[in-house]
Amino acid sequence: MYEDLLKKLDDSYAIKTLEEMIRIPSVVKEEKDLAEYLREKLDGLGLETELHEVEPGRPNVYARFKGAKEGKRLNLCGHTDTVPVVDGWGTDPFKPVRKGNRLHGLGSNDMKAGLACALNTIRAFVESEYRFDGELSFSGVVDEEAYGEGAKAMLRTDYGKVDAIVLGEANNGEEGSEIHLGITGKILYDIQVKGKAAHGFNPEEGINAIEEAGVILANLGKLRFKEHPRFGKGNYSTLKIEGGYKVYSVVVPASCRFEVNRLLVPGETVEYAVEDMTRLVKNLKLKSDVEVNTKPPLYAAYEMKRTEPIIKIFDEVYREVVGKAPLYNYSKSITDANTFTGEGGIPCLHLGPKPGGAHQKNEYVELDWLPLVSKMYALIAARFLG
Amino acid sequence: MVKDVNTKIDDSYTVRKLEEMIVINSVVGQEGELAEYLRGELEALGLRTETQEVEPGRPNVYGRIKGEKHGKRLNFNGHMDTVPVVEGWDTDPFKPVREGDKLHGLGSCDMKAGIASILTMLKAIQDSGHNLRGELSFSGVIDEEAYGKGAKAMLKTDLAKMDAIVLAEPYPGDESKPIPLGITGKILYDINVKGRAAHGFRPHLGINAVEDAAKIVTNLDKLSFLDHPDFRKGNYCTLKFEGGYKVYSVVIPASARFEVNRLLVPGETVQTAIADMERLVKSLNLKSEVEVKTKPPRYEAYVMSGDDPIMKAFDPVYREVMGKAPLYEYAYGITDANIFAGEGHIPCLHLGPKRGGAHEKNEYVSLSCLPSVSRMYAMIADRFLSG
Repeated sequence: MYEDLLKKLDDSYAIKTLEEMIRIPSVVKEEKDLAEYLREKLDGLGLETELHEVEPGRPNVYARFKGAKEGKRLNLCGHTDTVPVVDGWGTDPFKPVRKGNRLHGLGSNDMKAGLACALNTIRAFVESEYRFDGELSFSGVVDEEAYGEGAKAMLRTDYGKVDAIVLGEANNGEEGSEIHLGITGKILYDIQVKGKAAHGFNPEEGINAIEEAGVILANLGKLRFKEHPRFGKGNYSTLKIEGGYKVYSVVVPASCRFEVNRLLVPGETVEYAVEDMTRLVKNLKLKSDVEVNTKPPLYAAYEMKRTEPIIKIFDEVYREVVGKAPLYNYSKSITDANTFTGEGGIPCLHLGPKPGGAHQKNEYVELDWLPLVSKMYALIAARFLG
Repeated sequence: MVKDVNTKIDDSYTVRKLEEMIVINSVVGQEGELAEYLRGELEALGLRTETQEVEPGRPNVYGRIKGEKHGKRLNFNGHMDTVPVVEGWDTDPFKPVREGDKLHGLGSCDMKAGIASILTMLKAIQDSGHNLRGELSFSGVIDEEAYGKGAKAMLKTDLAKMDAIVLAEPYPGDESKPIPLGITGKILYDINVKGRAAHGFRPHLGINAVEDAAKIVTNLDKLSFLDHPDFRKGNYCTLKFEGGYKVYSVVIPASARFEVNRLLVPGETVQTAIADMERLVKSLNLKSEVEVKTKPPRYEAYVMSGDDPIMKAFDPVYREVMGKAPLYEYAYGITDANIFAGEGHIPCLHLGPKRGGAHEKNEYVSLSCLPSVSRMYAMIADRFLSG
């Protein structure tokens, strides 16, 4: 039934597209070139495409083609941005470098391989002229690695009304990269500590905002994490701190600011989290004035059922293609699904290649998984839109 | 000698020189013009002068009067640089403005009045025709308000073989600013913490350099502070802390940096202080790699006794001129004496006019202080060089 469709999947096309995308730097905020590349490719396949500016110079790219009759709408989605280059790359992060089964490059794993498999699938649909109902679409959104503004913008368009989304993130259903049935929420604490200036040779006459901020940081383990039956507990990580002189002078720092990321499980609200931090700070009995705020982005936690249609179809396809049962989890990894599902109520399936050092130096993707991913995308789309 | 010299002290000359110097902008970094001026004034007084180019366009200036017989060598020192102009001056900081007894201007008390008082003393000595024993000299150095490069350069000349130095800084020897019998040293720790990046949602896979740095900061009270009989203990103060993303992304910070000022007491050296911080860091068993360095400026502590010849010359002079005993203290305020005495082992006396808002807007000096300062300088020079 699906042989004609599957025959048109082209693994070398997927790899070539992936290599081309790695060569196009798209560090978060600079997605434009990649968006234009994708639009051109999809336009070349005959889809109805558009670029939609989320912020000046930062467009989402959308493409769709309609089936024979009215029906369900399925979107294959990926984020076009990557994290910035971290220290320590052994090769040029913007050059695809093959080492055996691995292809190295910034964004290879997170998530240009997923985008390449989505293009491969759409191309197969077009070339095989496979008959389906409803609509198959693609979206490449900006800003996933930062504030999720791309996904938020998509919710405000017509693509925000699709029936399900497949996100090509590196979740391949094996241990360590399970398929998400739910994801934690997240807040970014923005904490300002106000001390009192004095000459640095007489520190006892001032209140050192940096040292008091340090006390809070050293005690973050005292935050109260609720235990959820499926999610377990949330977590925290300090992302940034700044305080002290701009031009050198020996003055007790009167102010210090730091930011802490916190993952929330269902049952923990933003209000709960803010109160939790406020309580922790109060118990430290610091001399400083401390203001606990939050900064965007803020994400809602969500949970889906195993019986959700896109999940049921996925489960069957995975067993057929990979030959074993997929593993699921309730995850701590914020993705655009927090926006699509958490805010927008659209069921999301995360399915993509094997993980390979995302956000780290020498990020890579294992090439032998890409044909499986493309095949699964094709079968899932065919069945969902059947 | 002294009675003759004191009759030659010209207080109006002091004020005139002070006003001329205020007009010359000598904010730290731009001491060249004032150095030229001082060289000219010293030459006019008949001293043998020379300059030492510490940095391009920034010379120290020296002047000497050599006595006929061999004897001790005494130097009167002042830094030529001022701090930069801060906001809020009501008058032009480079215009001497009199307000009753106060003379306003940038550097007036810190420390052009002290330098002017030295010039007055030297002029009086030259005018009296008195023959000294040993050598009496003047040094004007750059960069005291920043890194002490001027004082360090002076230690590389033959002036390093000085028997004592009188720094004309604004220390009037009363409750407002007692005479230092010693000064703490200081270093600026520059600590770099290297962790490991990872996705911020999986913190256990990375090593958070900011959180590890915070652990060090919170434990700074575990540094070992020597309890000195006179100074008691030194102290520390974290001055700066930075780490984390430049552009927002949820990544475990792989590096963080912070700076801690530490005052040292005699018995503690720059070396012992570095070793102390390394010991503290090691005891915390952090996963990050930590590099303990220092950033300039760094200064050694020093202490003197009241029996030191320059102090023995000073004390009775102060009592005679001011009509009361001087107050002494073990001080925290870094001056060039940390270099002259701390590194160069030259005994130092700080003596000058009363302070009026040094480093602040509308800085001033009280003109009524100045006559006694010049007279004390002359009497101290006499006692020290003839004693």
